[in-house]
Amino acid sequence: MPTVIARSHSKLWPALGLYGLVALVALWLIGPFLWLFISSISEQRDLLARPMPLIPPNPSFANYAKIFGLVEFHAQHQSAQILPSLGNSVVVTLIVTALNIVLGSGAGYAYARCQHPVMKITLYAILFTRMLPVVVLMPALFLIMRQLGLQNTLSGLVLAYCSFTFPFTIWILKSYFETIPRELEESALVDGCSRLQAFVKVILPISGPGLVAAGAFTFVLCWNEFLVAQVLNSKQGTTTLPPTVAGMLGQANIDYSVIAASGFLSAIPAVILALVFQRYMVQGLTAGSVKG
Amino acid sequence: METLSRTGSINRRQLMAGAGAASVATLSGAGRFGAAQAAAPINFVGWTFRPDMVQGYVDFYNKSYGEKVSYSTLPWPQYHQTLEQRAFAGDIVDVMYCFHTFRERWAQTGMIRTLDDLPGVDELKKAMMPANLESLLNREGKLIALPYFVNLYILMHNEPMLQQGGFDKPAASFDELIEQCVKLKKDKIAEYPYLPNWNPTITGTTPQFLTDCFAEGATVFDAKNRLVIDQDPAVAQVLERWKKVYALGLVTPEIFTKPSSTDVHRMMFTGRYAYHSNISNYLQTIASDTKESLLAPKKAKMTPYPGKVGSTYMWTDSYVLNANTTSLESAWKLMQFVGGNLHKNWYVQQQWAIGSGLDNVYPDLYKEPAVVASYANWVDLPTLRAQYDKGKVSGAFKEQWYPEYDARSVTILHDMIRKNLSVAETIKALVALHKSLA
Amino acid sequence: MTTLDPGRPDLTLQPEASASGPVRTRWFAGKNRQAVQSEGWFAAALVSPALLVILLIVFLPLVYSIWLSFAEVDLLRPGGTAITIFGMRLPLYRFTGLANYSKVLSDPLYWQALLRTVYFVALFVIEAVVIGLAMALVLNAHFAGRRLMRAMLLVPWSMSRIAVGILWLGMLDADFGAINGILYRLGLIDHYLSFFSDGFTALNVLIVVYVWNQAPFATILFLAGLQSIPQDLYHAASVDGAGFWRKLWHITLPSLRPMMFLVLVLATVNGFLMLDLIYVMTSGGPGNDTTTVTWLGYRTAFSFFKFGPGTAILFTLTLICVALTVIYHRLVLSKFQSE
Repeated sequence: MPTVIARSHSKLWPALGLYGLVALVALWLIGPFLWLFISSISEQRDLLARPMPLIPPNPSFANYAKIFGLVEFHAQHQSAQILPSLGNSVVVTLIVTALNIVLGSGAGYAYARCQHPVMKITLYAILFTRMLPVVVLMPALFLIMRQLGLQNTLSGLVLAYCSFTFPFTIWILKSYFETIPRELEESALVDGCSRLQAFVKVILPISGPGLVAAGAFTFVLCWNEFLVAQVLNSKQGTTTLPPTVAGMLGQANIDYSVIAASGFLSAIPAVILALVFQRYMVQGLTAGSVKG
Repeated sequence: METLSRTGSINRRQLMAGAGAASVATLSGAGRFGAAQAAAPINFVGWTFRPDMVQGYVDFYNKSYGEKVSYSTLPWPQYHQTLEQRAFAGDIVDVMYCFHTFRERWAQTGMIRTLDDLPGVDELKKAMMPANLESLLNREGKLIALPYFVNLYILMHNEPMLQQGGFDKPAASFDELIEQCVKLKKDKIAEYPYLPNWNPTITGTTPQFLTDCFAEGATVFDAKNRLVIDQDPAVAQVLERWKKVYALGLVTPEIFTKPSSTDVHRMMFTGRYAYHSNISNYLQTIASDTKESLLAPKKAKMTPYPGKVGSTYMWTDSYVLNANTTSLESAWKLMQFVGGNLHKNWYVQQQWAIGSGLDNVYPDLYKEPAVVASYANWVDLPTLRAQYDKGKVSGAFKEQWYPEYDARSVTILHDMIRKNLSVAETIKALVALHKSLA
Repeated sequence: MTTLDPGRPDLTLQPEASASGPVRTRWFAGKNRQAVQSEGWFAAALVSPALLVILLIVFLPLVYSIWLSFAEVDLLRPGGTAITIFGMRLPLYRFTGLANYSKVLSDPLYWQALLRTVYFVALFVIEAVVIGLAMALVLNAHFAGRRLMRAMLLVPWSMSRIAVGILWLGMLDADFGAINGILYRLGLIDHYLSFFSDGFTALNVLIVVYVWNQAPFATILFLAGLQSIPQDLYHAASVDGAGFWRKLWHITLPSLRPMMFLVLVLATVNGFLMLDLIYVMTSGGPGNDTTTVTWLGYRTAFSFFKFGPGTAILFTLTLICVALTVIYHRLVLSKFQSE
């Protein structure tokens, strides 16, 4: 273990070696991401120049201004899709996250506390769905959503995302609620609370970390989802950011630097959220997946 | 790309100015027409080719005729499948671009409607070249599309590079072309002197294959649209040549992943290639776009296509009308505006020819001085028209199986070139693919 | 599910294994009779919204797509019979038995894609485990900025694969790629390399990019596992003169077994199902050289609109994933549980 090596010898070289390794890991993790940002504030002709300048000689946020429609450029009608898609992404992601926290926490709580055979069977069923590849369901879902009239609507997307995120949320929250002693609710019930009150007033207030973890995961997953949005919401103006950004790639007249800007823009909310809540996410995840 | 924007805005300005005179007449007409009823919103979707110019047309159209057309683009590689998906989902796009190979499929599946019953169709039909009109008909002989432009494969060359290599004339035969390219490579004048359009999309490898076969006079599909490449040795010779030029290192391997013919012609901009075959209008930007292309002005030229016959593949891209449109009148009006004429004004067809070198199915347009003059900026018009006269159409694209055959045959051809597989096996695989679909 | 890869909970950690305390059929052992009678309903009320949505959006499509894989689907002419569920009229099309499967399985393209997929998954799993573990070992050491580094792990993982694809196109492009730019500046190459024109290279590039995106997740899991290993074990081993590799082999890896299982399952399933990176980076080309079974199924269904064969292809893949999970369970976890 590097730990042991670094400590037991406590010499200069191992420590340097360790920092070398750390630097390498940092470069691997962050370097490409930084380059995406650098590309997005560069001009295309600087990216094409040989030798290529590694620090943009003319950094500007012009590419962002372009995709926000603040300046005119030749492909503005194409990039004009970015903002509405951003709006759709925000709406869908927030609603799904809220539904997951509200409905998922209720279900997670019930599964944590009630072990009726029916509950066990349905829990297995829910866990089983997580083994299914979404893509296998897409043709059937496509037809079903068409019948329901939910294609090209945000509600359809919300419904689809809920079904794919509920199992995960339920799992995380169930594990979390299991760590809360039953005595808390039992005494609340004795004090005359209804079961719902016991859950809402006693359990939920102390479940912040679990809810944050579940919410953050749901947010990241929905924000980044591509396939379902691409297939179900193909109509212009109804889709989310990932398909829209992907759609800019094949447009022969749009510079890579502009695409890089939209790619970076689309990545930023989830990345920031993950960085802010990373401690909870790791806890929630490991609580859900490791037992003992 | 900066230039695209600039030419785009110039075009838009030209359009407004140039349209001035014409629009006086049309506007008065439009006034009557438009006043009759409020304009219904029309969705118009195209693939990404000069979207700035198209937006200019649409802006002009909306302004002068009081219509509400919203135009949007889809990336070329996914264009048709996305629209099919949207159609299945019940989304109605009133007017769409359609590549020739998809028209029959779209007509058969009920996505688009026939046009014969609409006002003014007969005059438009009469104004078209017969061969092009024929290609816009479905298998029952009904008109299912109006022309966007005529695509014709041509061969272009980089004159300064040939001179640098000591060649005063472009190659007249493929043997000579290969000979020249080998020398250019050996002299390190070009790393990959030959740039055939082997991109994997539907304007790339298949049209290039048909072109090279037609140039040798070979038959690819018989009269009943069956694939008969196993019966004509000339096809095998073409494929052997493809393998040879690649094995000699004359063609860049990057060609196999380029996402559109537009991207391929932009490679020619760099001046790093000696010969390039592509759709004729691309020579317009290569030879006249001084902002972007190192081969402008007119350092790139066209030369008659080599081969025993020198024919090349020709097809007509088109605008189609959604069968389920709820505002037929407005949609048809837009169709006429872009694909023919509105109140005798051939504005869009004319502007495409002038601004982008798009060839046209309406021969009368080549009598317009402005159109003829515009060609002088980038090509020798008689050479182009001579190649046009040799243009060969194929009826096979009207089969419903054709799009899938097209898409899947490309990978078979690419594998042959890249992995040096045998020509006989390749031909067998193509024939088997055709049998499995037809 | 495919797009929702994090913590696909490991199926072996079953409810009873994870529940604390003895199995109870009621929430609270008989303290409040009225509550006991109503609690079943309360639980049912809490779970039913989620269950309903899952039933509608996962189980119904699942059953329906199994049917579609045995049918000849003509999207625009929904002929034949139809069933009505929840007021929805679902066309059944024409039942064709095993025709779709036999057609798919007799297509050499399918087997080539499968072989390619196996290569892709194998290499992806190995790289994800090795790189994930290596990063975990480094980040588990004590150094200044450790917390910052751990936070950075989430950056590649929390990006959408579309953004990841765009990012790496910028790194690898043959005209403006940063890697080409750097190699050129360093004088290591005299012309830019093309990473996507050779099929095998492109496939390997896809694997590396996917590892960049996914391995940090393995690292997070491994880090959690590493923290639960008692330090005494290492001290004792050091006293016995064990070096880094022996400690890794005899202490670290055995203790990480449950995590290893999880990482293997996740990486395998995610490897099999990867689609969006192919979509943005290679579209399955050049030729078919980066066409995996998932991509083939997606294309068959949504490019050529052959829903029958498309779902058949995708179901063969699902079966493989489930089978592999069972095998991993046997190999990795059963040993762990017996210890």
